[in-house]
Amino acid sequence: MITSELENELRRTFALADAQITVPGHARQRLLGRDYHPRRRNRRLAAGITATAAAAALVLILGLSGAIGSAPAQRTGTIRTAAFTLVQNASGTATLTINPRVLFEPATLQRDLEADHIPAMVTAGSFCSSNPAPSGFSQAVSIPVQARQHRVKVTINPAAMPAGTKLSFGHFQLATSQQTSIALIDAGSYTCTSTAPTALPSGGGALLRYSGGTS
Amino acid sequence: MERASDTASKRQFEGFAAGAADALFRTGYLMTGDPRDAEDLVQETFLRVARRWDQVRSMDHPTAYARRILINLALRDADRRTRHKAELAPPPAGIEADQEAARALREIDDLAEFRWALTQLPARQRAVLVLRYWADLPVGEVADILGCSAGTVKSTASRAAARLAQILTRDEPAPESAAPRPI
Repeated sequence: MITSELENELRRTFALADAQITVPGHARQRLLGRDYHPRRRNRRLAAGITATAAAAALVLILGLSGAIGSAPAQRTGTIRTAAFTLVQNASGTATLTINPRVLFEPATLQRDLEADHIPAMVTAGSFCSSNPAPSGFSQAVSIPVQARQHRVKVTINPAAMPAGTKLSFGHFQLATSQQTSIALIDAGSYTCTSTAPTALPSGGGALLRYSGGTS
Repeated sequence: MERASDTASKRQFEGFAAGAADALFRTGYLMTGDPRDAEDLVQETFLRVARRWDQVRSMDHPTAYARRILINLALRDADRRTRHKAELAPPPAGIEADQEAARALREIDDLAEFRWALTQLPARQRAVLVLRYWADLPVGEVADILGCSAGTVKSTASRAAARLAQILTRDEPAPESAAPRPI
């Protein structure tokens, strides 16, 4: 049994430590700035995928040195959801972190990528590809070999994406893991499948697996 | 089109979130030592509360419910974090050990070291200390949050305090790479 002297010292030390903790303004702004959709009825945030815990997340560092197509007013700042963070950097690049620990939000991610001039098609429970696939994936996307850890970095240079192409992300919840397939697609000619790919897309692509269970 | 009742529900949730954000962030930071992880925890907590808002808003203490969610999310994630953990022999127990532990806490001159030492504890021990001595919750409530008995809370608190003192008084300095990230 812990003595009251020790309990009092613990309380005192925690109080002192607490006095040094301030919630960063930008964190508070992000936390309170998003719409959490509190409805009177239950609402699923993404079809087909339940909240998960996984060992890795996807980080995309995007080079925007060449805008693709027309350039509407550029968003600045940070978009942060539980599922991903998209940071527009002052240099014109953007940093995208996807956190597969929580629900995947394909519609939101696609919208925000496109708002940053990155043509994309983001789906959950399906994957869209073109046959033949447009060339240029290895110039547009690079994934260095890394030890398994919380985050896997994927570098994408949208300036290297051929005109008329999109970056296709297909996210799948498997039995004991999650999988994200990435490929370049012809925006005007592609097909989608609800079967999780087991191999890299033809013409180049990426297949990322994260282990973890569902909660 | 959003209905008036949905708008009212949303406003009510926003009020709850504005009032609870700071306390939840602090809880998350004490549990993880990382402000980014703390923010992740709070965000996921808000999402889960929002999903059940129709029930949560009727509770006497919605913030307590949110804190319970956050703590359990932190415990769920804890075993996936690759932190350097102090390799120590089992800590001593008893009144003298408690006196030594109390002295170790009094002699702390850098609270960042205390926050680091917290992150070196097993997650459940950390949770017990945070809930009992930072949130100042009674033993019964801590037991309810963690899904264990009151006796387990007490014994875990005792072991955690002893371990904390052991970490604080070890001769080796804390590894810099494991230091809590500053806010």
